[in-house]
Formats: sequence, structure tokens, C-alpha cells
Amino acid sequence: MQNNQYKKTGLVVILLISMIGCSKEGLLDYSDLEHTADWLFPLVKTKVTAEQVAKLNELSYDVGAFSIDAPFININLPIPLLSTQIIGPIELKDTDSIYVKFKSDTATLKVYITNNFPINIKSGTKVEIRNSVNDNLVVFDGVLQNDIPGKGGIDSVIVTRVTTTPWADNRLELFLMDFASDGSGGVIENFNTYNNIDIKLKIEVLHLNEVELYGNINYLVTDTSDFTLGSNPNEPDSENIEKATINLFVENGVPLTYQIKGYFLDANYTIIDSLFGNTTIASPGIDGQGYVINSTIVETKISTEMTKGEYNQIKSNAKHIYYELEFTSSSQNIRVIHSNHIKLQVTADIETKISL
Amino acid sequence: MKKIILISFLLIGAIVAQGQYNSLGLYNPHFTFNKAELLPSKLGTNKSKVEFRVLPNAYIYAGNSLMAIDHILYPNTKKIDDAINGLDGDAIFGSSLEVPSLAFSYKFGKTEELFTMSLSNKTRVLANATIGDNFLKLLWNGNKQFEGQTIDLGNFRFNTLAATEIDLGAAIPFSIGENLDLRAGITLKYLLGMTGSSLEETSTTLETAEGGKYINLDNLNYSASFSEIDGESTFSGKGFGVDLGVTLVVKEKDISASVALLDIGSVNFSGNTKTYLGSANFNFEGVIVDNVFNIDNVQPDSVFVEGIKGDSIIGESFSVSLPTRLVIQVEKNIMSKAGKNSKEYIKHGIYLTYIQGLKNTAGSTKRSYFSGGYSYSLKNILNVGPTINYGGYSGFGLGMFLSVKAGPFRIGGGTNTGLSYLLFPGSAKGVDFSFMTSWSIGSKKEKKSAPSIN
Repeated sequence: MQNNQYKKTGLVVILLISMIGCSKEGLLDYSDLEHTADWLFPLVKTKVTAEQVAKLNELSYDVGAFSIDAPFININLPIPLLSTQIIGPIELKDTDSIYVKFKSDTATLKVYITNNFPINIKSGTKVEIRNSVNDNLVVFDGVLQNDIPGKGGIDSVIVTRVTTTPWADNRLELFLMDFASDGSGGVIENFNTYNNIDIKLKIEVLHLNEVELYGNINYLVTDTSDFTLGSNPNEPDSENIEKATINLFVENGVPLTYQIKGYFLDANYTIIDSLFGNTTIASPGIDGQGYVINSTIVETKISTEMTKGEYNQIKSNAKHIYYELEFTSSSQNIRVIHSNHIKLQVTADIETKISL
Repeated sequence: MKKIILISFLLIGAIVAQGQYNSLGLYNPHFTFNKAELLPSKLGTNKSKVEFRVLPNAYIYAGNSLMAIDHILYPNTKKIDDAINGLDGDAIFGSSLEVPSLAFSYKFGKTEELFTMSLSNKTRVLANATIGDNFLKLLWNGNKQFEGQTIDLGNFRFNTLAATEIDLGAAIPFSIGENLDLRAGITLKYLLGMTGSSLEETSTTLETAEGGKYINLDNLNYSASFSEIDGESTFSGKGFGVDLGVTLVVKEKDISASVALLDIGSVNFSGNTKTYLGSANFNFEGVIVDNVFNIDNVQPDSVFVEGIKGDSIIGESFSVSLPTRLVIQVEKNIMSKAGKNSKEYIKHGIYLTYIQGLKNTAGSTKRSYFSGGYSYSLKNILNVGPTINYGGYSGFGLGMFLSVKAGPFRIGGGTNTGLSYLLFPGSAKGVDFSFMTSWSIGSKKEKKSAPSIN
């Protein structure tokens, strides 16, 4: 009986030792293990506002040279002291304008004057910009701080207005008020050779309250930016990317339809791949006055899939990104207010292969 | 990513410090010192006047609630996938290495035991970690699975402790009735900490917006302290601990019930420490481009609405709690006699044990642990028996022990989880092994305050 107990115990021990002694290949071998993980994260967020669009925030007028119509223009005489209350109106018209009128509470008026008269223009001469069509209101004004010598003297009037301005038409008039000159100081001069004042005017809108635009707009914005994907394009870490989806979320809050195109360019500015194909983002609903109906603003998602090969190609060769935004509108006049904007956000959905 | 995964698996392999319990000591009547480590009142519950240990013993354990040990040792992607994606709740990892070395006990009293005292030494390396299920799923699968959701990443904490302790133990028997005896035990511990670390429990939420338009990480606050080994001072921490226990014996029926509260105390590290403090509360919406027509005007600072703030403090002391546990055991013995002098010994022993960690710290988990054991003794020369246990770090475990006695010397080994690992390799999540020795000299007619052994 006792012998049997010894045998049983011994058998159990031998069995255990045998089992523990068993071994198989692959112990702690994590080297060949791979799996995929899917990561979703934001890349870029931006907002396009009316002020950022050059066509709306820089209103340039090249008035060109205008001549004084004076009876003594061909007479060689010493020119006496001059003063006159008003010279003008000189019509300013931006013939390329897409706006009917705008209202801005912060804008900078820059008037560059080249005095090609034979006499100086005295400081204190006032420059006034007025609406020419509707109410003749003074939209901007500024005063010359220095005398501008004759025969090519140059000076400018720069005024930043931070007050609520009235509507500014796209047809403006310029006046020189309280114009004064010391004359030629007894020297014989004439206006035959020196007979004009050259004026260039630029209005930079820094904060646009509202702008009314003509219908049938077709305006193209393009830009090219430097681009690098990853810290070192030659690093092989892109091997971990199995697939990538780039998502562009667009929320169009301006009363314009636009098309988006984006391309990756190589060092020679040759297209190597498209970021987004030709995609149209429709305008939100517009009411009878041309304002956006906020409740009709929707978000559009545009997705572009990128294979591992495409990703590697872009990582290795893409040096620039080129994009186009082409704005269009219907024949109806539209109004853009300051709160109207386009929200853009780019996110990435990256499927990665991880080797342990 | 790779490093994090590797660290996770190293934790699995190395951390389970004293996580599970060397219940073999409880169930094998040959080893009173080991029994007294979990039930202090069992010190001296043999007939020997003197007992001592000179060879280092060892108990090593590693376990976790995430993956089967076999899947860790022989991994493939599907096994890891299944383990991580099947998680429901925090994953806990624990490991321990205990090396009891010198020990000496003496039973005072001429004819009957008055009390027994012991002096012993033990080195313990303990580790414990908790990682939230969603955090592991995030690391493994990415965040797309949580698109449009705010998820709790779960709790995250870790504690490690390496210390040598000097234990002074005492057990005193009391007779409280004709058929009832009570035995009380206490062990006072002085600990010399070699190294330790502590990250108190922290948690955070992660929100991944629809389409990945933003990622929010909210309310992450952490304080992680480390004691570094600099080679100049071996022990940078000091601490005290105490074990308390009582055993009630129903003498006629050879049944006893024991209760113990172990490892009340902590080790304080004050030298060569570094504490990392931080908070994270950020919203990431991508790189903000103010003007798409002037793309050079990118503001990197705008990436984080509220950023991550971190700081480190050198030399600030911190404490690592000892693994305080409640132990309850019921024991039924069937005695027999053997040898020339017809010495009484436990021929059959049946044990039920419940261990409840009171803290999630190095060496203990709040997950309850149940264990049952049986010992069969062949004339008190060879003891063998199976154990079964459930709970703690690794769940189900099957094991066995074996020991032999040659004169005063006893040697044995065993495992609480080895059989379950061999029989159910696809599900066993813990592995342990113990090696025990002791010498017992002299014979004392002891008061029967607990079932006597030897």
C-alpha cells in the first residue's frame, strides 16, 4: 500500500518535470509581429474672411496725372502766391471693381502725390474722398503735413480711420481743399512743361463691416506655399503608413460658390499629385437683399485617399502646394457682412503598420 | 509606441511583485516560518524548540489580468489583439520576488510553550501596475475606434518597492476554554528600502471629435516619484511595518480559524529621489493658420489651447505603502502518528484561505483572492498536495507542492499556478514558484493552541 503511494507521488513529480521541460520555438519572439492601428487627428484649421481676400481689402485707384486747366498755362511769367478753396472733383473709378459699395470701420487711406507743377503745394492742403453717386458724403480725408516741392516733388497722405464710416461707393471723387502755393518766387515759369499733379490712391480695408458685390462674380485666388511632409523626406518611416485619408471639412458661410483645387508640386513646380480634385462648394441660401441665410449653411466633407505609394511619392518629392479658389456668384447682387466666413479644417485618417 | 508596448510586457513579466501569495507555506506543515509570514500567530506551531533557516528561500510570481502567460511567452498578433480588445476594465500587472534568508525562532517555556520568538530577514522586490483598458486599446488600435466619443482612459498607476526587512516575531498561546485555545502573533518589521517608485492613481478622458476635427485630453494630473540607485548608498529608504494575527483553535476537532492583517506600514524614500509633477488639459484642433492667403503666418503656439505643463522636483521624499492585506484561513487537520516515538503529525490537512488586499500597491491588489489547499503527509517525511486558487492578479490557478524531511532538515518547492499553466496554457495568466528550506531541532511538548505539526 505504501509502495503504491510512493509510486503515485513519483509519477506525478516525473510528469510535472517532463511538462515543465517541454519547450517550443518562438519564446518571447516579438520581432516579426505586426499590426495596424488607425489614427484620426486634426492637421490644419483656418478661416477665410472677407478682409483676407485681396480683391476686397485693397481698393486701388490710379488716378493718373491730371492737369490744371489754367488760362496762363502757356504764358511765361513769375507765378504769384496761389490759394484756392477747392480743386476737383477728380473722379476715382475702379473699373475692375466687383463691389457696389462697402462699409468699413477700420481702413487706411493712402494718397501718393507727385507734384509736377512748377510751384510747390503747401502743407495744410486737404485731401478729401467723397461718394460721387449717392450722397456726396466725405468718406475719407487727410491733410498734407509737408510742403511738396514743384517739378517732381513727392509726398503722401496716409490716414487710418478707426471710426464707423458711411457707405463708400465704388465711384469716388477726390478733392484738394484749401490748396495753397508760394508761387514761383519771382522766377519766370510756365505750366507748359510742368502742368500736372499725379495722384495714386489706395484704400486698405482692415475691418470690413459689410460689402455689396455685383452679381456674376468670377474671381480666382491662387497661391503657392512651400511644403515638406515629415522632418526628413529621406527617412523610411513612411513605410509604416499603409493608407491615408485626408479630409477637408468646409463650412461655407459666404454667399459665393467656389471651386477648390489643390496640387502637390515638385521642386520644379510640376504637378505630381492632386490634393483635392476640382471640387465645388455651393453657396448657402441668399435672401432677397443678398444676405446669407444662416440656417442654410452646411458642412461639406471632401476626402482624398492616399495609398502608401502616393504617400511616399509626396513625401519624397513634394516641395510646394498650389491651390486655387475660384469664387462665382449668380446674377443677383450679394452682401458679405463681417461675420460671414468660410471655415476650413483638414484632418488625417492614417492607417499605420506597427512592428513590435 | 514600440517602447510602450515593450514596457507593458516587461511589466507583465517583471512587476507582479508579491502579487499572488505563497500559499504553499500555509498549506505545507513542514514550513512554519513561511506559514508565519502570512499568519503571524502560526509562529512556533510545531514541536521544535528551535527552528532556523540558513539557505535563502525564494518565491517568485508574475501575473496579470490581461494575457495568458503562454501568450506572452509565445506571442502572435491575434493573441494580443484578443487580449487587448477583450479587456473590460483596468488591466493589472503584478510581480514579486521574495527571498527569505536567515531566520531563527526559539520556543520559550520549560514544559509548555510560553511564547515563541523569531528573528528573520527577507528581501522583497515588489511591483504593481494598473493600466486602463481604453488606454491599452488606444495604444494598440489607434483612436479612430473612439471617433465621436469621449472615453475614460481608465486608471493608471504603478508602485515598485525593493527592500530588505528585518523581522522580529512573537506568538503567544492563550487557553480560553476547555476546548478552545487562542494564539496571537505579531511581527515587527524594519525595512531598508533599496529603490522604489510611486505613481498615484490618475485618470483622464480623451475626446476624439467626429472626423478627427479636434482631440481633447482633460483633467490629467500626475505625480510620479522615483528613488534612484546611485551606487553610493545602498538603502535610500527606511520604513516600519507590522503584521498582526490571531488563531482560534477548536482542539477536539483539530479545526482552527486564523485572521491576520499584514504589512501595515510604508517605506519612506528621502535620498536621491526625483518627482515628476504634471497636468495636461489640452484641446488640439490642428495647426491654426490665421490667413490662408499668407500661410507663412502659422502660429505654432496656437496648437494647444491649454498646454501640457510638467515639472520635476529633486530630493522630495515620498512613501511606498506596504501591501496591506487581510488574511483569513480555516484549517482542518486529521492527525496521525509515526516513527519510533509515535510522534503526532498532520496526515491530512485541508485549508481554505481568503486574502483581501486593502490597497492597490506594490505587492497587493484589491481584487480578492481565494485559495484552497490539501496536504497529504507520508509519515511526516514527504508532504505533497494540490492547491487551487482564484482571484488576485491572475485569476484561476492550479498548483501543487512537495517537500521532504530528512532529520531536522526540510526542503520543498511548489507552485500555485504551475499546473494551470501546463494544463490550460491559453488562459493561465500567472506563474509562480517557491523554494523553501528550514531546520527544526529539539522537541517541545507544546500547548495545543494550534494544530501541531512535526
